[in-house]
Amino acid sequence: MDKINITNQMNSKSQSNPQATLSNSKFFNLSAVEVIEKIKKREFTCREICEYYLNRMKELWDKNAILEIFDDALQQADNIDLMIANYYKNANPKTALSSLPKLCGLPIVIKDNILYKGKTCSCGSQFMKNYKAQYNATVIDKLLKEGVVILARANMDEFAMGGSCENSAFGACKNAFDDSRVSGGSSGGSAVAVACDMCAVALGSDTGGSIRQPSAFNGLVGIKPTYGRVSRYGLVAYVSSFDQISPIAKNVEDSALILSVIAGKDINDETSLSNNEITTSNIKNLISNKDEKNFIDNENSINIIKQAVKLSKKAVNLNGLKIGILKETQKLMQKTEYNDQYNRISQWLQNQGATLKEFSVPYFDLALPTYYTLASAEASSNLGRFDGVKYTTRSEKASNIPTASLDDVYLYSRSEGFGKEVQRRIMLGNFVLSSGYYDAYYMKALKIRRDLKNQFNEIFENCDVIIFPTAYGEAFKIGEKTTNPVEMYVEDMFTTMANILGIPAISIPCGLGKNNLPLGLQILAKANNEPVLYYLSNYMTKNYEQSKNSLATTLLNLNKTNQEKIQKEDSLC
Amino acid sequence: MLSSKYDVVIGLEIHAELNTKTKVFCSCKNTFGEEPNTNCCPVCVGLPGALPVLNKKAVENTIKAGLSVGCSINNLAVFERKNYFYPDLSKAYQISQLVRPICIGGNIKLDNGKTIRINRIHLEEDAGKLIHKTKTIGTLVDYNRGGIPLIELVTEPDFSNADEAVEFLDKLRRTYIYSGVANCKMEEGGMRCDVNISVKPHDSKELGIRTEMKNLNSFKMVKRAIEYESKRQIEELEKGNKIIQQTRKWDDNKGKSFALRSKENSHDYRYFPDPDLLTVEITQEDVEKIRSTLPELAQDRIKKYVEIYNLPLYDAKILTNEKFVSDYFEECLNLYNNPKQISNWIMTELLKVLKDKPNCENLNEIITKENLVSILELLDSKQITRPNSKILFENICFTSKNAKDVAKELGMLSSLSDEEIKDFVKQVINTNPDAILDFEKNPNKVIMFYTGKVMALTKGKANPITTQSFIKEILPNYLKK
Amino acid sequence: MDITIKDVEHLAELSQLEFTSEETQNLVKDLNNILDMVNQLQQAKTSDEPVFNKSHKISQLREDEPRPSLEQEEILKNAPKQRRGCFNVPLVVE
Repeated sequence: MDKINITNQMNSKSQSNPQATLSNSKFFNLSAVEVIEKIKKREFTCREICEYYLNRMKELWDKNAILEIFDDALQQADNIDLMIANYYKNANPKTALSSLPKLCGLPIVIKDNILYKGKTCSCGSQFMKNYKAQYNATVIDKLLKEGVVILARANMDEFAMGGSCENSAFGACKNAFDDSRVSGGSSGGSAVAVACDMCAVALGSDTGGSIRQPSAFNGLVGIKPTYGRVSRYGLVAYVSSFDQISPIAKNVEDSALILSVIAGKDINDETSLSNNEITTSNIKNLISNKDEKNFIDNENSINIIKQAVKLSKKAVNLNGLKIGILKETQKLMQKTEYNDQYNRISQWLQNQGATLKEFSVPYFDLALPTYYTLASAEASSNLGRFDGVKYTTRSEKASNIPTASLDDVYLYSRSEGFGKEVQRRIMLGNFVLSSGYYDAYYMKALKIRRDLKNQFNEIFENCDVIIFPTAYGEAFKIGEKTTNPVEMYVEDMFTTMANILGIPAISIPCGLGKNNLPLGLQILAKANNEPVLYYLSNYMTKNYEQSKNSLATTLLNLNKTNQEKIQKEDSLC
Repeated sequence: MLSSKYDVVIGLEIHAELNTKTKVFCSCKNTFGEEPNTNCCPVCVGLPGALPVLNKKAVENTIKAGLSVGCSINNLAVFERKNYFYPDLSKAYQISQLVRPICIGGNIKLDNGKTIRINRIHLEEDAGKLIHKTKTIGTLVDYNRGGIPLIELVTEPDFSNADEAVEFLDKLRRTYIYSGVANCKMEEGGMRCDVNISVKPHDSKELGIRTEMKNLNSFKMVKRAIEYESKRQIEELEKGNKIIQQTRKWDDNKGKSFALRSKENSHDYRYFPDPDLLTVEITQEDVEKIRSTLPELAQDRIKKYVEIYNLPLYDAKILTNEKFVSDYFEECLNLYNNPKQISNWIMTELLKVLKDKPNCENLNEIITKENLVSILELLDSKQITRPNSKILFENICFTSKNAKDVAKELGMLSSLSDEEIKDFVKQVINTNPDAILDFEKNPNKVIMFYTGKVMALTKGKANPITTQSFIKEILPNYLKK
Repeated sequence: MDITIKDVEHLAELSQLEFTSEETQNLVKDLNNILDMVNQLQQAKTSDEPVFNKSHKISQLREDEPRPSLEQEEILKNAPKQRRGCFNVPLVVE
């Protein structure tokens, strides 16, 4: 296991005191918005909060959420503090606040498949364990420009293939609230880092649910934006047609803030979208105040995402909101123990003034086979470049045998480098693309995808959002679904649809299950309709008791177990 | 003859590197001959996370290439991935076009009246370069060439011999250069040709099994390879053997082709639309806009030179071989309307000099069009002699000097006054009085005789035309006597 | 349709992966399980209209203007083996 020893990276100036990380700490469980504001106002320094987060990582190292703390993390923090000091020296304190970068000093964690120049990016794979990024991903450039500090890289399923983080070559990441359960995946490390307060927000990537499902399993807010909203340049590709980078956050406002910074057209990604394409018609219908309506019309398109959150804070009901529910997902949930909980959400939404409408998508079940066909096909091609020639480890077997041929380099390096699940998907992908099967599988899946898009477009003519669960239930046990790959695939039943359609979907906490672990509700909207997702998500997390409580309760639980653990350790000494 | 029993069926796949400033899917420069791996970015090397972004100019040039050989342009162009492992292919796939290429159809007419049909022209990326060293050193990989825009033209199997294939290639090369889409520098691999050949008995309707020879990069190689391979196939059939469908390598030194080892699976390329690239919409308006930028092509110029300027076909072809030569010819023609004389000088003098200057792409660098025209004027007006004109040419090549000044400096120009010339005329008549007697019978001969004498006496300094006019003026006085 | 050992061997060759006979057996089982799920696709009725990626116009394509390349040293930074400014692989025999 390749874990980086972090003890010597902790700064000597501040003694790492576990007590400091408890709930009475002034740093505990702050949102990103709060962290930025407090740093800007110099209530604490960037270095102080970074040290707090690094301590949390160290304390909870066994969660296996973090693969590496970057050795210059505190150096980055000092640079930010210096910058702030200069701003205050040279500017009027009042203007200094607004002229400081938008995310000034915000410490973040990134998923291990996003390139940060000079830093290791391993994609959770043995094959890439020594790979040092040769350039910055576009999202990294954008975030650094707005003043973030990148603390660490987070664990993930190898090459983002998996829904539990058990496929990481560096060991499974454990659920934030229960060590025996999965974190979810593939962005499991990012989610657990946020839930365990190792950072206020983290970047993940979502290809078939890889942000939303771990967000649901750890009581967080995770959005998969419209395909193209965020540049994929510098994200190690798994499925080019579906991949999106996005934040995992503690609350809706933080999510909107980070997305508004990283979204936008990128000259290095043809498939990226201009922010001008973001539509606001759906939330305009919900707002009765004329001034606010005008305000939206005149607002810069990307700020609409943040404004949607602000406007929903003032909202007292959901009058005018049309919510779609699907017969097929209702049926899937009937078999589960969580059915009632989700039905109560629908009831509550109606009580708030929303109209509920039922629709049917007869081919809903086909999302999963469509996803696995297209995903494995693209993955088999995207992963061809990992071959032991330009980067990635070359097999020692091939290097040591003087007679080794080029084919030996390919074969041995790839066979030793890739884990089992990755190899399975490459094989499946080559099957669905190979001559004789292309039309029956790959082409068929493309056509079903197109038909599903058309069906959903029709449904969105008659509703603003569609809701259904993020997953079947709470986080499952580690090892529970590793014997048969299909059992694991079926876990993606509710999440792959948004990726296939390219539409935005957000997962928000919506209560605790029978094991006192978080459940997630998914809200989907038409492409480019992120504002309405943020509006409803924020309304729910402010007003729906279950959504409101789940985070706080679980975090308190977490804290309690930590306190108990520390007390136990103390008594042992 | 054996071959008379068989038909040879040939199809060509011709790759040409497009003339753009940047590569097809990234903004690295489209250059040749740099230090290895110095003209590369994350996209060229296929680094993780890198994405292709299509070059507008490459698409426009492909459309232009298509229009110049009569292709139709697809309204939607799709890019696909062709998947296979080879170290010159950094991503383990080449971005190419299969189902919806940019150009379809089209044709080129050969001089014998035969039409060669074009199946398609598509846009794709070039691969990197492999440098094969020894067994201990291994193979070196340089990705500078990776991502250079390539167009691949595929013909129908319409050729029946090597000469037709070479003529087609020659015509296509001129067309690309004239339309400005490609430079086609064959020695730099800027134009390469794959040849598919099969033979079948004369009376058979079915096509034979074909073999493919890849990367032939000179016309001579194409000719030799086709001739060898068709002969080989006929001989195999005569021996009662079957032709095996295979890729063969042409070894130009040995003058032979031999089979390449190939794996069973190597042909399953698993093409699928590249999800990183959007489909390109090409409107009729786009096509017309590009069509309006098409210049006069080589074929048109050859026709004009033969029909309007009365040049021999052979000369017209040589002049149009390189666009810059033909451009120079037309520039000179604008200054001095004597196509034959200009053509002769370009063909005999300038092209001889050009041979030693392979990098020269503008004949004005050898001699400015103004100077060449000056020489021709001096010559045509007999102010200088032919041998002197060549000496004058050699003296002003690659200089900034003015032709007339140099002619004067070298004492080539007639520098005698009219009175002096008249004196010389009288002098030669007086010393050669017998010649006058023939004047009635053959006046021209006599005039030429005395002119020659004056020229000899003045060592060519007298202007022959002036001299002749004075002879005509003065001679009658002597006749009366 | 069932995936056989022979299919797995063929796919392994396309994938540049090698498996022990035990691994091959397991893959046959796993891939067939997955195919059982994927084969649901065949039930769906779809139209024969061709499917295209999202499109854009020629005017939206990248302008042909060069941008700086990376340094050779940076390009080769992660190369497992390099020589004379090039990536180095065993001799390729054509």
